[in-house]
Amino acid sequence: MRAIVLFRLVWKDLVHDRLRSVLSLALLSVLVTLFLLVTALARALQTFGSDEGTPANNLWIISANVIDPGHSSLYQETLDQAAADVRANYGPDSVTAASPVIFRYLRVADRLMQILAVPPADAESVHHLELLDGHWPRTTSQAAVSRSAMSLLDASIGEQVEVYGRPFSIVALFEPPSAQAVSIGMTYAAGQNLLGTGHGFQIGVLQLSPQSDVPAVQSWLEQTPNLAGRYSVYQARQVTRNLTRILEATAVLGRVFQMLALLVVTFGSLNAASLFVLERQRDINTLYAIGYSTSTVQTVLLIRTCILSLAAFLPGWAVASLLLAPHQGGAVVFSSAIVPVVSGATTASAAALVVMAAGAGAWFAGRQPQAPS
Amino acid sequence: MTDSAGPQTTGADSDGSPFILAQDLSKTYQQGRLQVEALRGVNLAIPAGAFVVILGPSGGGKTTLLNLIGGISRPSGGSLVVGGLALDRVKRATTVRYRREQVGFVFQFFNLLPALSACDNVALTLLARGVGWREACQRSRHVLCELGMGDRLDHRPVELSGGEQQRVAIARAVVGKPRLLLADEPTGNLDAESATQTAELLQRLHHQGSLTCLLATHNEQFCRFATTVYEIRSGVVFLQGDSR
Repeated sequence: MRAIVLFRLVWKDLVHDRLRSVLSLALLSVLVTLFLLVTALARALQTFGSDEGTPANNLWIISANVIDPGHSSLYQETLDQAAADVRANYGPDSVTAASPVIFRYLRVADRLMQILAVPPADAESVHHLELLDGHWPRTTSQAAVSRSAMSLLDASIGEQVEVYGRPFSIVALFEPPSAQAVSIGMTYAAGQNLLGTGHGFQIGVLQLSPQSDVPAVQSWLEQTPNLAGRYSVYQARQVTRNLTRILEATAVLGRVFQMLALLVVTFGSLNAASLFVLERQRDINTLYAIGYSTSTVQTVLLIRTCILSLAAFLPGWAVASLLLAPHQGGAVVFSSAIVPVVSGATTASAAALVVMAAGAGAWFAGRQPQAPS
Repeated sequence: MTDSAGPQTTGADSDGSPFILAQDLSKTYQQGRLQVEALRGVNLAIPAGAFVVILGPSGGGKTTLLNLIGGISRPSGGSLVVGGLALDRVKRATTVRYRREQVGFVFQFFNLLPALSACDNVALTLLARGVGWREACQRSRHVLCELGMGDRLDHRPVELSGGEQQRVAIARAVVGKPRLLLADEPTGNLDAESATQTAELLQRLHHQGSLTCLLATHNEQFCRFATTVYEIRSGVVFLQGDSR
């Protein structure tokens, strides 16, 4: 039997039963939208949750009993003493750098962002900030902006950004070790200018030599009279991990939701196909009786469900894209960007799965011809 | 006995054997844990061109018998040969071809597809045979006009009366010029006047060609047209007598 004849029969049926067709289309579209939105969010969370963060041989010294490093406060003498203590105990080459970091969370352009003020010479060598474009800030009115922050600000090098009421010229695009971090970098002097010196700085970074036993140094240093009771010492990666652990759990949930959404859209499609077959059992049995083969009837059902399922992807994709459009810059959680994206690959694979599910529904339902009533 | 469902040129089989021959035919259904014997030891010998009425109450096994003869379901036991084709043994693909090329069905509830016009419903039979849409429609229109439905060609089933729907269903059954017409309670859902018209129409179609007709009904009105009347009760078939 010619394919065009089958298409014609299906089309006549879809047009005749247009209310049911539209309702099926609407239901599948909602499921597709749900799936694409949940998938976009889950993928964004997975990207964030799997971030490795800062390098392994940096120790962070911050005030004891603070969860947010932005609330920490220490001074140059404390950091210098800590470096001296480690060198005295582990050898003069055990500490390769001791660098202060002014670290705050500030609202910039209505988004919560990290402010990192570091000595320019330490930016790459100690703090592993990677310069992608431009040059590191040299004056107190210049700023470097991380890739995620640049995307959120919708800005570029040469433009200005206002931080805490002061204009800064953007002179660099950089990537922090935690790639999703939404950060604005500046010189240490600029940080002091902007935020004052009353609280010193927030993080003292000790860069240990690669041969160091970092956990051993960490435990020992925390017990020294200089730090004991007043400051905590962390491995830098550990701090990042503590922050991202919460999101890792969310990322796992995201994956679960993604699977659930996929199941919902798959079974929704399967259900729509099965319900249609159930509803039209008499017509289907009549077709068998007048000489249509099982495979021809299954093909008719398959064409019908495929047309509906694929047609549902267009509005589903459009609605999901529209809903995500305002968030293309991403949401900021713990000053890291979570950027939901509807990817072509996700859409295509889901479409293929839905068509397969619809096809399975049509195939299973159509495989047992019955006597017409 | 062959495994071919191809059309044969004459109404009578060349070796003189009956067109429909059922021997010790039985059909058992499984309903949950219950086994229902719908037909038991049915023996039939129906010559080509006969007009056979199968009388019986609801649940007696009429529909089951027609479904077996029409190749819709398979016997549980015994043998069934129609037009030289052993329906109890052939492959499923052969029964599909048999239904498509040799059998026309008429149902109590007409079983027209609601999305299609009268013409398209009739054309379905020809489309199944691979006839193109245009030609199928032309031939369907011709048959519908012959049955007095020329002014209802583009009407959908819901726009037709019961009698008209049954005429469309009959047109669908005969448009492919089958050798066997099976009608299951064709007047069961019609008023008296429409039922009489339908009965006369079926008789006219039978007279026009070498069609073998089997009507399952509880309406004794059909007996006056029949060459043979069988009665069926609780799955057992009895020959009532030759009405001629």
